[in-house]
Amino acid sequence: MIPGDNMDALLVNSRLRVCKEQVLHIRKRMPSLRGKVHVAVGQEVSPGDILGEGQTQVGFRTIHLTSELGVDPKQVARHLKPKIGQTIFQGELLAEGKYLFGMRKKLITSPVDGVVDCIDEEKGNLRLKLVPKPSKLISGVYGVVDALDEAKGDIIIRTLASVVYGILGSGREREGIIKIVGSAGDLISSKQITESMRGSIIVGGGMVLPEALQKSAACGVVGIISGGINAGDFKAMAGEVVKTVQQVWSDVGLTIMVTEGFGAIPIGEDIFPVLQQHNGKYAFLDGHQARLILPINDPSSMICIRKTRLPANTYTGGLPGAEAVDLKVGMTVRVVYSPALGFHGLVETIDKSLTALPSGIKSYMVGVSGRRQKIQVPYQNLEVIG
Amino acid sequence: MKLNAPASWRFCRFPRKFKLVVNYTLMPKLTGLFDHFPKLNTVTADMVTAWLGGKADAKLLENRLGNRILYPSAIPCSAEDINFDLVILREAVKTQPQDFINQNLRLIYIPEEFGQFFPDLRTLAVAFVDALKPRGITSIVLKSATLGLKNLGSVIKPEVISPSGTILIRIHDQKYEVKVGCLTVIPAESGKVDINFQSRAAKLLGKDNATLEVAGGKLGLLVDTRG
Repeated sequence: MIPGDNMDALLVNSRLRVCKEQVLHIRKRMPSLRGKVHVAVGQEVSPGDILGEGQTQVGFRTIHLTSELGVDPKQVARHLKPKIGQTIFQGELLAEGKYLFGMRKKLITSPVDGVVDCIDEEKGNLRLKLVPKPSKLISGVYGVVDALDEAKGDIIIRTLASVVYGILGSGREREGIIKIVGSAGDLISSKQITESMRGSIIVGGGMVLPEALQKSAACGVVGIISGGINAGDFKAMAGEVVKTVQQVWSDVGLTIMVTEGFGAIPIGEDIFPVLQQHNGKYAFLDGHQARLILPINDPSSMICIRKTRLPANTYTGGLPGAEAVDLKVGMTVRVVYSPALGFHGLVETIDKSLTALPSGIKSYMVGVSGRRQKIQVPYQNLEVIG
Repeated sequence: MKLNAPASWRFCRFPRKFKLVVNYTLMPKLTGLFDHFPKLNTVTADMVTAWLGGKADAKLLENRLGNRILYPSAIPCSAEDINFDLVILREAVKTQPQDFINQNLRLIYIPEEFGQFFPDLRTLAVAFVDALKPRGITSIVLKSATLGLKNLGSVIKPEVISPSGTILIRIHDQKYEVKVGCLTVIPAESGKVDINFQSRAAKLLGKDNATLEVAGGKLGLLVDTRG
């Protein structure tokens, strides 16, 4: 028998998974700190408004010239056409290799606009520094600007939105249009990922297969929401299998939020309908916080937003923690242990005597009634959702 | 599972009139056995597979391990589930052995709540022995926050010098013959017990014939002659 087992209080964890239509703060980050902000505190904004302009942060692109030209790493510099420090535009000649006594040539052109930064003579790599591009920051929501943090380039907007919390995630905050690619339990393969999904947050059923993850990143998908994921794939993205979601701060250019756990598990019955309602609408996905913000895209939401006052900046980005609650008949619960991991239902019965499980542990069994079936589960394997 | 911090009451003052507001502070999250191991995420499927005879699917194992980290307060339902948890426990204990063994005092500590999670104390003790690999004679105690330490028995791990043979252990008038290469449990009452160890295939504390005092208890003596 586990401590805490007494019929006066069967304590189980309770976790917030869906928070429907509440006024909250969202954070919009300027593309760069030296950008120009076009809004002021107190100003009302609508989804199409431009909040500010700046330049996208510069990065680097490495070209493996040794393998491209088929020459020794130390000879790469001889084949390079522009000089170090020179600006080069996409499609311009970058390097030229000659074969068969100059009768045949191989031309390498620049894949991007950039500045020739340096050559690694040990590996034969050429590094191009990307040219910053002008970028506009779109509001994406109806709301009121409550705070501006110029030091960080943050614009805090009070808006009306629903929030979905996952169990784990990875990747920085990204924005995009929600696109549902299958039903709650579907396994998403690479065939279902297309170029048309560029800039979207795809909702990928019970699990996104590794090839689909790779293709998503290649196609420019900004985020993925799924019920489950293979622990190995998550580790590859996040750097480690997590102890808590807050520990993972890596980013592979794609944000992911998992709602149920590891393995193929359908997205919860409490979460999937909310995502369906927002199919085709703008959303903010934060993998590090395992949180999806779904703004209410209705001009009438401004009435509620105007009426509600929040402290200057309540944007904390924090994930609501679980808390212990007394399990009662009628509560909505979710099973958190195999074989029924992810099963949703209502508590119908709670046994008054202990039952010995095949594992040898004694526990109070709870009758949980789902949409299609009823199951008996030890109370410790339940989580109250609300 | 740990449970603390009761609900609290607070009076709040509202404009114009006084109002009693019941403000329940959030009850802290329930924790489970695997919350004791902050480095549980360093346990890999390969480590676990070795205990399962290398038969399990690595991906499935990785997922099960991951879910144990996500939901540490859940309890195993089937016999297979509890075996899997014992395997994880072995590897988890290895990540922080200093919390469970004192080499100077020759003591293995089993936290009381572990005993409640794994009802079969013997299997649990064997898991600790597998993970901590004590040598010579080590006492096993149950560590309770309220009752302190309670002797459960001892583990006797002689140095095996021949892969075959037997060990003879005498407790009072009882003789026990233990084959080399296995783990055998011998009953021994609570308190101090005098034992006589004799073997040509193994040495205990450098001797092939020794009379020693060991701690007995509910568990008895675990004679481990595995390699």
